[in-house]
Amino acid sequence: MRGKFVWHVTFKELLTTVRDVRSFRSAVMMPFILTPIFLLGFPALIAQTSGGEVVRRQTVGVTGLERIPAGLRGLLEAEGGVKLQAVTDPLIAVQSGVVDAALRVPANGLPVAAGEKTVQLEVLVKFSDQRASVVRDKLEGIIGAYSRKLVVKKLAGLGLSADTLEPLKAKAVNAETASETAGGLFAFLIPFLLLNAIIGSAATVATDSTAGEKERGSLEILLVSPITRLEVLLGKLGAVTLYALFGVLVQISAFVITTALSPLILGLFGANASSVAERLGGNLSLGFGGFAMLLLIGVSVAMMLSGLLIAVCLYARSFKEAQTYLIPVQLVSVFSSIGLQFGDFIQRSPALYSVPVIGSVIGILDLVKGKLGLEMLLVIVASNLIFAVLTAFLALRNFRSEQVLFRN
Amino acid sequence: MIEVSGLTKRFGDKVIAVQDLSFSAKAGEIYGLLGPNGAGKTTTLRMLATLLKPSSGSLKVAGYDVTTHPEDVRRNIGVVNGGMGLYDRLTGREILEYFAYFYGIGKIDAQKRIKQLEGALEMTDLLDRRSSEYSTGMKQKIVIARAVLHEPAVLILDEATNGLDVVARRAVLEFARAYRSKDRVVLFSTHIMAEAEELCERAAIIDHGRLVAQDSVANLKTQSSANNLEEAFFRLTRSVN
Repeated sequence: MRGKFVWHVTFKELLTTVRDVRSFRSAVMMPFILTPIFLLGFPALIAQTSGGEVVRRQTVGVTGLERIPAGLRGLLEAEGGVKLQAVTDPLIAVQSGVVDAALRVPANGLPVAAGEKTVQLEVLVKFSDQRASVVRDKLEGIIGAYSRKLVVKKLAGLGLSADTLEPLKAKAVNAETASETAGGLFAFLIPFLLLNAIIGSAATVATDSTAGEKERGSLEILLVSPITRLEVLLGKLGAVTLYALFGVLVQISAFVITTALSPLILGLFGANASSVAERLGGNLSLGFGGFAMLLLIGVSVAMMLSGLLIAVCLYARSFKEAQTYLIPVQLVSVFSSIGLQFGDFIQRSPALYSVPVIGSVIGILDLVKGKLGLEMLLVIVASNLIFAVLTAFLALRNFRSEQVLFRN
Repeated sequence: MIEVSGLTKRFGDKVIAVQDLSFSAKAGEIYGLLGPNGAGKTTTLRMLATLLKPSSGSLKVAGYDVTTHPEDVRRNIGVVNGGMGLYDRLTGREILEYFAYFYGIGKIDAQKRIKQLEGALEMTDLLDRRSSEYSTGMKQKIVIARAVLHEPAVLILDEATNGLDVVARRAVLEFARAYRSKDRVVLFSTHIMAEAEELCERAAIIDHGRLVAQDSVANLKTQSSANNLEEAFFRLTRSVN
């Protein structure tokens, strides 16, 4: 094998890719556009929307409005800021959207003092409606507060303090590391965006250098020159991997810049939205070692996917056909990101870390949260490299197959 | 220069693209490989170019066996096929330099050779533009230049005039004529009989993967009492079918 021939092919593939100005511009710019949108825009938007819902005066339908004690009614209207409206059928009123929630007051009314039988007050809301959860929390909180007020009054009558009710109280203290705080709930977006960058960049070169060459007829001419198929394949693999690595570096730069600019950008959404968005996280807070680990995973994933993409694209007879074949591969990044939202529930093990792609995205998630150990990093990288060799063999087999190369 | 003997190519169990094909082309001649679309010409040429492996039979190019010495064969052939096969985002010069490297032609020698071909094929002032900006005729000139960069002993032209206008077509035929010399052979594959009659001294006619006739163009016409090669082709293929 002649290394100079391999590099000659790699260089030409990279040159033609970079000269495709639109694709190149998109590869460079998209991470810098998408990353702040995903990591800052969405959390800020969610924070702003939910914050607005808390402030909004919701309408609450009530059957038996006249039976609500004045104390409770006062709390609901003044502290809860809800508007009470008499309705005959609370279920229909909620389902039709006439009211945001409804209360069904029992026929014998609600208690005005503690010490008698517990009365149940039904709060009707749509459980699947995220906006309704805000009014539900409000109503349950106010009913609880009213109930506590009655109990405290009763205890006072008996000469007991309110503390009698709560001899022991739990207090949650945040034990997150700085990385976990920065990653927050939206940490799963980081491996998703990184994987997306690898697949997107690798696919650009893989489709053009295989199916594109077939379509143009240049692959046949290249194979007629005195270069072996192994050299051609390694040259193309090199180009796909290097361009995917370029995608990784651009994406990591986008993370770093987005994190650095986050106070400034979130400030535009107001103090409340800003603090909620910061809690949702999605920021990358890594030291030099962390970035080195991230790069190592990125490179090994890029090598593994390069072989796979070339092997798949070689089956295609045209650029468009190759793009169709790559849809399932691209869906892997989407599905893994959906799964990662429940990442905290997934039991970690070396076997899990060694699963191609999945192990890597979980590893990146753990790295972002400062939980990835060196041993598990080695498992991920070793597994990726083994699969990289296997996918390269698969690509070579396809490259040597007459049926695949000259399929008609 | 080219010796084909009992060549057969099967794709799977059902398709026999080429069956027991034998012909030979000597140095100094332009040899025609003629047949309708789907006759097996491209499959034969792909085997000659080491892209496909023969199922049986032997195939020698410039003294090298295609199955045992594929790289030596590739060093001695140049291929021009119907599809242009150019890289849109490279200039004509970059394309030629890219391929020159694989033939072990150094940078300075490559520049000299490109300069030579620039004049021979009238490509002046266009070599430094990206190939996506070329006309079909100019593209074909680059394709020909790429095929003869290393001055191969065997030049294979497979439907090389497909889609060309009269001027570009004429240029291809003239280049093929000029390229032939005492130590080179041009293998001209086409389904256009008029072109073959104009260019080739000898020809093999194949149909359905089998050899129908092989002789000088003059003898093929005499054998079938035809006025031209197209008529001869029809009579010969019909008598076999």
